[in-house]
Amino acid sequence: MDARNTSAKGEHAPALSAADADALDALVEAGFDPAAVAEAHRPRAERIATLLGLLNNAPIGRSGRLVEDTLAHALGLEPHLCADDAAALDAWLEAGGDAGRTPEPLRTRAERHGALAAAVCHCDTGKRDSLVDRTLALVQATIERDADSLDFERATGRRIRFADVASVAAVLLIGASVLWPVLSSVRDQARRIACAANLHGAANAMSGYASLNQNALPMVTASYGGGTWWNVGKGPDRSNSANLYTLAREKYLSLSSLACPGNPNAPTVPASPEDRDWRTLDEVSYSYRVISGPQTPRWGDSTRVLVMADRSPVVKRAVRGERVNPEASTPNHRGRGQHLLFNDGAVEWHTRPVLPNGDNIWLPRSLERVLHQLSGGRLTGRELPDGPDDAFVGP
Amino acid sequence: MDPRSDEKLVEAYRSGESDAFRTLIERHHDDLLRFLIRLTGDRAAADDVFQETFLQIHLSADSFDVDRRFRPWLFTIAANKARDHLRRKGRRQEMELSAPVGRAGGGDEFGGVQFVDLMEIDVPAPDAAADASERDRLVQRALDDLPLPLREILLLAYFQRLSYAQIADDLGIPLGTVKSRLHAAVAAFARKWKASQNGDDR
Repeated sequence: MDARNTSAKGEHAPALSAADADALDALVEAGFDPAAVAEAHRPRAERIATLLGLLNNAPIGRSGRLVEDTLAHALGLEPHLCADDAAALDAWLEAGGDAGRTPEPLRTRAERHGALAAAVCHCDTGKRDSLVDRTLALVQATIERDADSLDFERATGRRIRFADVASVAAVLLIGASVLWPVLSSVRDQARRIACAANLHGAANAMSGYASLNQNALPMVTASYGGGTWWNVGKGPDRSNSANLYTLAREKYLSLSSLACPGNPNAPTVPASPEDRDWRTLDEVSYSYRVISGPQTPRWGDSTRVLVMADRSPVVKRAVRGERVNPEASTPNHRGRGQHLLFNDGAVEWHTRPVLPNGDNIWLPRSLERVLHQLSGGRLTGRELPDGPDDAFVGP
Repeated sequence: MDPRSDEKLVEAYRSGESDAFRTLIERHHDDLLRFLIRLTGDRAAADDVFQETFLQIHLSADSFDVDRRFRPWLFTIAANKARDHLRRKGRRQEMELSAPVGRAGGGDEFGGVQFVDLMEIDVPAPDAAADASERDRLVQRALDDLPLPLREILLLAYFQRLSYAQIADDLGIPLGTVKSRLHAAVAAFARKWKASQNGDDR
């Protein structure tokens, strides 16, 4: 939809200036409400709205909003309520859904809106069953699981006798050589399960954060950006990991949920309640989508994008000035693959750090291109994603 | 019945009164479940999302600002959870809530633009108990045909009866967009309903 096109034919046809055309677009976009138009376009939008209002007052039809209707029709905005129904809907909603409180001329139509709403809202929920109890049980199970993990930590080292240690040690020594490969695999599997649970927890936390922050992804400060995103612990407005740490700082989850069992350096409790970031790169278990201002996708966007992954194997080497291997997998799972969390809440295990569209998750697209052409290139920690479809996590 | 407001109950729950949480769930059980059944079009899915929603409320209770209203927060979380659920099931969202209206209803079998006039539509009668289940089914069918963002804003408006300003505030999108999107949603729903009445929706 571009009003400029309306004057494309015929040199002498009257044409809107580009600024007016943009303002008209913005006005239509805002449902003909100049107050809702962005400030840059508002003065012009108000003038256009006044003009439309003058035309509306002309005695040319039953509708008081003929111009808006016709314009909307011409622009292909469909489906469209007739003007009287639109006015009745506005009045009905402003009256808190009570048609009796709407102005007389609109009341009959407002009652019809009420009837439609009633039909939608009064569906049959079936027998009032145990949903309340099941919900409470789910919450209780979550509380107990959290408490159990704390108890387990407290219990270790208590009431253990020498005889227990000796017998366990004997069994372990005898069986170790036979069982070691199996145990190792089981341990890897257990770590992967715990790690996936962490990411599911992070998805819940992000969903909670999004609910309170206009669907935004966690961000440490609204003015974030422009620095070196891999400076973990060196200034909360600089490091990208501080954005992820926001979930723990604002208590959407506990820090232990952001500690992958495959990272021995990950803290499970904050060193200080004032902390706004992990203190060193080694402490970070998960790499987070590099946030880049207004282009940053939102939680639940229709476009599915990567939000978080097991920690990058590339950033630490790049910080040290070493050569990086963008095909390497995270060190969290012994290089066998990594978990990825997407903005629809899904957690997936990928054996390669590459998305189905060919996008490497450790690198911005600009660098991927350079690497492809030169088999070289160097990450500096200041790159930003090319756009919403450039998945790129760090540190 | 507990006379305390929802917000007070959240505060009480935060300070350890676990019964307050049950009261909150019971208080919103019927409305939220109906909202979710309508949004997901599936009773079992609505049950799951209902539980996930209150689990999220439990997890986020500490960060809830008690100066804000609880009910819009609850419904917004529920809508987010339902959206995630539908997406996991592969029913893709066709556009964003804040996107321009465009051809939201789609150039469909009706061919071209139509202005919906409610006076020309047989609106469903809520007290006609005899055919209530048939009416429910037809309403659900009309809703299922709407793109998810339109269904979402229609249901949020119908279930919450908030002013445009409040909806805009809760959803974090401009007031004008809420208005035009809701108009489009009601028009699309009314047209689908009319089509289902005439038996020509499929």
